[in-house]
This record gives sequence, C-alpha cells and structure tokens, in this order.
Amino acid sequence: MERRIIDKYAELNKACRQYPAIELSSIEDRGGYVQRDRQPEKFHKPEGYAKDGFVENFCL
Amino acid sequence: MTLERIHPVEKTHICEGIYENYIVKSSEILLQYELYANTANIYLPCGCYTNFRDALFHFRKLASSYEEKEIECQAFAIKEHLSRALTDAASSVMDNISFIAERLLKDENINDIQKQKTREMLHKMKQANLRKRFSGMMLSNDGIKIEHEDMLGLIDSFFDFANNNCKEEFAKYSHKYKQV
Repeated sequence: MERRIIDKYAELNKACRQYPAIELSSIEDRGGYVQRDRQPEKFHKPEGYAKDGFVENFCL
Repeated sequence: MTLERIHPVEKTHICEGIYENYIVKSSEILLQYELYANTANIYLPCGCYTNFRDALFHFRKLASSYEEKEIECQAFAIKEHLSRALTDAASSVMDNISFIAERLLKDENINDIQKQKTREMLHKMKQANLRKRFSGMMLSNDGIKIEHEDMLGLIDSFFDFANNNCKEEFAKYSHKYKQV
C-alpha cells in the first residue's frame, strides 16, 4: 500500500524531497485557523470605559 | 449502589467489536494519512500518535475491567481518542494543502485553467475541513458530517493534480508552510 501511493505520485515525491522534511503541528499550535496569517496582538490594559456602554450601565 | 458485573461472553463481544470496528479501522485510516503526508515529505503532528497510543491504554483498561459502567466509559474514551487522532491528521494535512493551493492561485507560472481547477479544489477542501470541525463539536446533525474516505479522496485528487501540473510549485510552497 505504501509503495502504491508513493509510486503513484513519484514525481511529486521527488520534487518534495529536494527540501528538508517538515513536521506538521496541530492547527491550534499554529494559532488557529482565523489567526494563522496574523501577528499576535499585544494586550493593552483598557483605560476608562465607553460612554453609555456596558460598564456605565451595569457596573457603576 | 452496586456495580453490575458484565457477562464474560458479552464483554468478549464488546472487546472484539471495539478492536475490529474502531482500533484496526482507525489505524488503517491513519496509515493512509501518513502515506500521503510522507509522499509530500512531511510528518503528521505527534498528537495523532499520542492519541492513538492513549486509545490503546484505554483498551487495555477495558480488557481488564468487569463492571458494565467502567467498560462503557473505557469504550467511549477509546472512540474519543481515535476520533481526535484522525481529526488531527485530517485537519493538519488539509491545512497544509489548502495553504499550498492558496499560494498556487497567486503564482504566475500557473495558467488560468489550472487556477480554476485549484480554486474548485480549495473550495471543497475548506468546506470539508469546516464540516469535519463542526462534526466534532457535537452541535451538528448527521447531514453535515464528512467521512475520512471523502477527506482522503480530496487529498488524493489534489496530489494527482499537483503531480501532473505543478509538482515543483507544490514542493516550494509546502516547504514555505512551516515558515509562516
């Protein structure tokens, strides 16, 4: 079975072997689907709160 | 409350069923993913193998248990670990080839007909990946689920396309996937 797939795509296999092998990580390790191509955002502590927002209406 | 002991014949039947219908079948599917990954000179995430190993540990526990409830719990744990192993393999390989397909669409060496074909396959791959993820969330009905056979079919068709049309580009972008 193993030989069958590699033989079937022998040329593709040959092309891929020009580069070093890579090890896949889980998608979550890579930052998830949505975040894949983005840089992680830094957390900034919020200063103040929105006017007539949730905090003003329910927390004060 | 007393724990009910399972009849030995019934337990043997459950063990055989779990082994043949889940463990052996899952190992064959995982092998398929591994072979496609190895053809592209990539390795599957270690989570696939650790989940499969954990399923075997649960099977050992199942084989040495006598209480009905314990056996049910172990059987569920085995199915859960095997499902995670295969989903990990499927989504990581799919993500890799979707990345390659996206890059092929921007490549100047790929002609319009090939791009159209790539776009169609990319659409199917993304849809399959989403369906696989939704089916793992237990929110979906059976209509949204996708079998591993179908996922492997999509991978095979993309490999076939790349093998005949753009193997060098496939290799180049596959290598770049790690650097993103």
